[in-house]
Amino acid sequence: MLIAWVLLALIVATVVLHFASPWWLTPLASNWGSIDSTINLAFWVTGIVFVLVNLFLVWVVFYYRYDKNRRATYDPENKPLESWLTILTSIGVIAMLAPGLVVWANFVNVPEEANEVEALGQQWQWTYRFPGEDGVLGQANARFVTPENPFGIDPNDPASQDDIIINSHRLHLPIDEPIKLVLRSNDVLHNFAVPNFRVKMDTVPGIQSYQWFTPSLKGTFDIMCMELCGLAHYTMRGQVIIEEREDFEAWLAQFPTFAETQSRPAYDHSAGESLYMTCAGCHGMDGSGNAALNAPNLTMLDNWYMERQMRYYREGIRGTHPEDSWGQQMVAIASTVPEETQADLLRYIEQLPLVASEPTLNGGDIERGKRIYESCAVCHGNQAEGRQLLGAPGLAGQADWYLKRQLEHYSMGWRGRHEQDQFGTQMRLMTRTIQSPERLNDLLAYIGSLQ
Amino acid sequence: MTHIALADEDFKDDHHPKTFYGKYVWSLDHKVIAVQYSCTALFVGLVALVLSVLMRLQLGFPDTLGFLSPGVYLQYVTMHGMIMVVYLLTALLLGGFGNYMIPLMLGTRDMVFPTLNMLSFWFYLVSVIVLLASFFVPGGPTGAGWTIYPPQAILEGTPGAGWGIYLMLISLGIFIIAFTMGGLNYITTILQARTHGMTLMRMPLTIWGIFIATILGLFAFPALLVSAIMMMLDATLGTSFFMPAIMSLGEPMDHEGGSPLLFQHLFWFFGHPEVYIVALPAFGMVSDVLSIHARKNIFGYRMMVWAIVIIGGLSFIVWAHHMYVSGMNPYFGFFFATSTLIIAVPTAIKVYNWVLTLWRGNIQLTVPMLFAIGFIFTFTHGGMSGLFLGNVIVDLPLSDTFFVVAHFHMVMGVSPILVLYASIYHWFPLISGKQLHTGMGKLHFWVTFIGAYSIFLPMHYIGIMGVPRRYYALGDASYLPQSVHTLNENITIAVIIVALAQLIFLFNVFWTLRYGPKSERNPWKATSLEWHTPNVPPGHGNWGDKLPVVHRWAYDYSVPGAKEDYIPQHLTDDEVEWDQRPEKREDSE
Amino acid sequence: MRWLDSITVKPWLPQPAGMAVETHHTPVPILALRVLMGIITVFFLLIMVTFIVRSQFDDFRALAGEPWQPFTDTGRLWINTFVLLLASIGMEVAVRQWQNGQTRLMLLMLSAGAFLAISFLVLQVAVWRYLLSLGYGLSENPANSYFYLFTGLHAIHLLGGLVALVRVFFRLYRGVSAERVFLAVKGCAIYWHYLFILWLVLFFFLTRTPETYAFIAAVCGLG
Repeated sequence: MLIAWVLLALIVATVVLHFASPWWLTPLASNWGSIDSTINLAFWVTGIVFVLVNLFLVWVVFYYRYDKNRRATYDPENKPLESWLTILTSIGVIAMLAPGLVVWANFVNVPEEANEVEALGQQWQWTYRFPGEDGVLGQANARFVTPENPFGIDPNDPASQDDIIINSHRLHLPIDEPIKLVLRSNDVLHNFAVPNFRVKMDTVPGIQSYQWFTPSLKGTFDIMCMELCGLAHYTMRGQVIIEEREDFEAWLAQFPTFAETQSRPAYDHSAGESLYMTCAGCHGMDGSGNAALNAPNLTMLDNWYMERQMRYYREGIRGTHPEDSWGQQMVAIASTVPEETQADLLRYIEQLPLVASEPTLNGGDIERGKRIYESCAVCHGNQAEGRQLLGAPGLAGQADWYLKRQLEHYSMGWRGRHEQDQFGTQMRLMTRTIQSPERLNDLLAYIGSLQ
Repeated sequence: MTHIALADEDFKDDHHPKTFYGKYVWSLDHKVIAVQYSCTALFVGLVALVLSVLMRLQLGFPDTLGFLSPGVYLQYVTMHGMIMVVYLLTALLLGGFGNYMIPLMLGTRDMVFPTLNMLSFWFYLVSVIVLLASFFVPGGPTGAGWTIYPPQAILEGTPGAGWGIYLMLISLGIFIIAFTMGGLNYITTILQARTHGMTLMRMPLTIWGIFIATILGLFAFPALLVSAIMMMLDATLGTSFFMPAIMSLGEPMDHEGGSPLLFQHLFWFFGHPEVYIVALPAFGMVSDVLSIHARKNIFGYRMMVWAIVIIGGLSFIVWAHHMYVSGMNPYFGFFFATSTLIIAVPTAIKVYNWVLTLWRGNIQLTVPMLFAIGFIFTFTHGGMSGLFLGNVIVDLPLSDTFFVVAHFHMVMGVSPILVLYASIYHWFPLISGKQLHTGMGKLHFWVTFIGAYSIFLPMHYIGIMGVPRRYYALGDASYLPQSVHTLNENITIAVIIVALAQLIFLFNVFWTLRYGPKSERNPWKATSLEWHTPNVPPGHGNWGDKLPVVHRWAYDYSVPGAKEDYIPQHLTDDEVEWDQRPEKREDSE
Repeated sequence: MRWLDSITVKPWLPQPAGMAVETHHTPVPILALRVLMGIITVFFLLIMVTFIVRSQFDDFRALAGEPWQPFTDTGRLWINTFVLLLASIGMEVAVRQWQNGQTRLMLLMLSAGAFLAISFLVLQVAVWRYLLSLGYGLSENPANSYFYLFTGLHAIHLLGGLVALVRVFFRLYRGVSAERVFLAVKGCAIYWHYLFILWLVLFFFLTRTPETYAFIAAVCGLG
């Protein structure tokens, strides 16, 4: 008899959980309230059937429990009963399906006035492209991808020249304007999903897919990749910021067009050299760094990585945590480097001959470190050489004490917590897998062995 | 040669095994092969169960186990899924129960091709070994998810992209060969070797479920084989069936022009019928358990059979409902949403008929019956959430979230496993001659049933919130409150409890085999043929000298006028003891 | 519609005379073979569907159409087809000879069927080598990939048939009576015919022009 009571309790618990659940749809931030309505409709229809069928089950189990003096009824079938049940079920199904299909038709047909924006999924980051003045996104293909052209935009397509490249995980959109989000991938499948928007769609290499929505709520919303895309899938996140048209335009104006990203100014060696004198005090004339002054080795850093870090220091994205005193020092120094001549400085550093860092830590187990490094290798490379297209700097040759401090800073949230830090979330999620000082030591020992 | 001729053939004892190896290892006897299949399947199932506990530990208590890196997590997710769906459920339901029940319930001496049957098991064993071997190769098993979508499945950046995925594809290929050999046997045996009087509509629903599931399997697995072969060529010989021009971790690949969606279509053309390959035998077996333990005929037998056939047929035209957000032509959504929701109707009828079978019955709450009732409950729940995901627009926010995970675990994880337990408790006396301990069985049921429900019920809700599946860690997504993490911890604790409860079952099996008292011949007073062999457990050749002749359907329970509340299928009216004999109830031949 | 009748009876009622006895005239192994051929058909059909879809992508270069493409002239493939046809005829004659009681002639024709099937495989390999010599490698183009894939899988199925045929020879050699192996011989013959027809379909499929593929794709709604 217990089973009848337990089933009854489970039905009650299910209904109570449903209405009392703190876990429900996130606040709606788009025009897709109709999707929420179809979900609610489905809940009512299926909920009622679920409760009725199982309440009947409870009653049957209770009422027809075993009695050795009673016989079950012999009734092989009951045509009218079965017909009625079939008809009622069909009505319920149609009641859910028909409105669903109407809303789906809305989703399939993008409004004419929708603005096109492209979201590009790559392992493991989101970046975006706006069509620029001509309103047309230029052709793109993975075949065109180079470190200078990470989007794979066709350089010969006239429509692509004015496309605005957003090399950031944050996408700003104006409120109350329909957006057709064109989805593209240069490597594997991804899925652009903002839970608050309700809609999602895979990005598929080789073809373009799309989704459309009209943002209706100002604020910042998380973009989650929702198609398994490899080891760091769970770190592939972004944000979409909904704001007024003016704010959006001001934001968009900061970003370069495709044509601008393709030009590379001439290099002035002596300007770079003289700028470097400021840095040499800590990082040394040869750029090999100085452990006593907490200055890392610069000779093994790539230009593009230093450029990003200089920007982060300058814009307060890195080195702003109150506990990170060395970072704050670097913020101050970075602000003295004029933006327009920074390229000379970085190219000067880039051409400095490579100097290996002296190991300072010991006792790490290289074999264990190797296993921990497997998660890092997908981005930073098997030899820790770095992969520019994945935004991952080289690690081999860097001073171990510096790597140690940065990894600690990531896991403590001193670094990478700023919302504009494109790879901050990724690194913070990945460094959590290190878990303990011993494992960190093992990992560093392995990276040290890769020089 | 007609099936009658086959049924009439003399019992030639020339296959009778003489040695230990002949009897238990290289056996041609369907019962031994069934046990071999079942033990192997349960063994890999245990492996997959352990993997799921480890996964849940990571989700509930992130970053506590050093070896559980993001890559390892994905490998566990993948292997758990693939093992459970293919190597446990398919193998146990068809290779195990199918093999055991078909000849016994149909009154034949064995499968029509015993050697092929034996080969089927050995191929299956090899496929399992190849699969498990991938844990020990460089890079480990594949971590591409059980759907093994290209391009990522064969690209660096996904764990096990080299040896892991190769072994997975090879293992699937071998499994498909094994399944085809077994399936040909089941189909021909069911069609051609039934005993006298066993018309199609007198077959127990167990056989109907297995029959249709086997047909589905035979025609759906080729799609998986095709996709496995083509992906293997893409991965090893550089063809471009599924691989477009892409980058891989910053390096350009040589492929050109292929279509990842083509793979998904092939995969789900297999993948959806696969759901029913698991579900239909479970439907059949639970029908029989419900009917027997409620002492009542199955309600609406014909409707049940037709529903099985219709569900089987429809399952081939709904595959793209797994692909609503795949980037395929969105207009497909209209067709596939409609065909998917149509399946709900025959499925709902089956649920109604199960409940109506209990209605006006005389319900004995034995351990198998408890599991069967538990199945009705979880299956209703899982079926209902399926209506959400089948409805294309509702799927949009829910796909790739934990709602999907919760749905398919409820409907094709928990539900078929409850049926499997019901069946094991039900048929164990037949297979071993001993009855599993009832007290331990009940404890096992309560923990498993309530535990599993409390795992997957709340999981739907975090899915609605938008928690993505296949995430190693959630981190601090701004839309997720702390309570989600707390809930994840609680779910993990429930998983550990349920997993430990399965040890009760294992202990019960070993304890009963060793110390359990001998059971009665037909402890549940069932009508179907398998309980009426000359020996219990049935001996080699099943039926002694003479095959049984069937005179009625398998559901003559509580027939008015009969002295006992059941009439075995092989009895004529004259052989039945009547209190009050009704008018003619027997064949007119 | 006996099938329909048999699943609409009310099984709880007594069965009318004749209903309980269902006769199937197909011997069990032949039935199994038919199911197997159905499975193989589905297998090839699915690849064909992917082929048609893939043929509509830009990078697909059909193997026939322009004069310089290898299968604009299909002479080589016709020779192979003829050999496989002879193999199939050989098997059929073998079955008929057995029915006439000509066991020796049956063995001879059976051997001819096996030999011609092997010859077909050798000739197929020759076609592969010819294609490779022209620079049509496996991964150069999806059309090439499909050609090797289809012919390779067809060859594997034929090899499977040869294994079954070898088993027949083996059983005859061991002195199993011809009656008991007859069904196996007949099965082999059916399988040979099936593989011949399958080859004709593949032959047709693999040597069409881009226009024909576009037409097929349009008709099937796969474009």
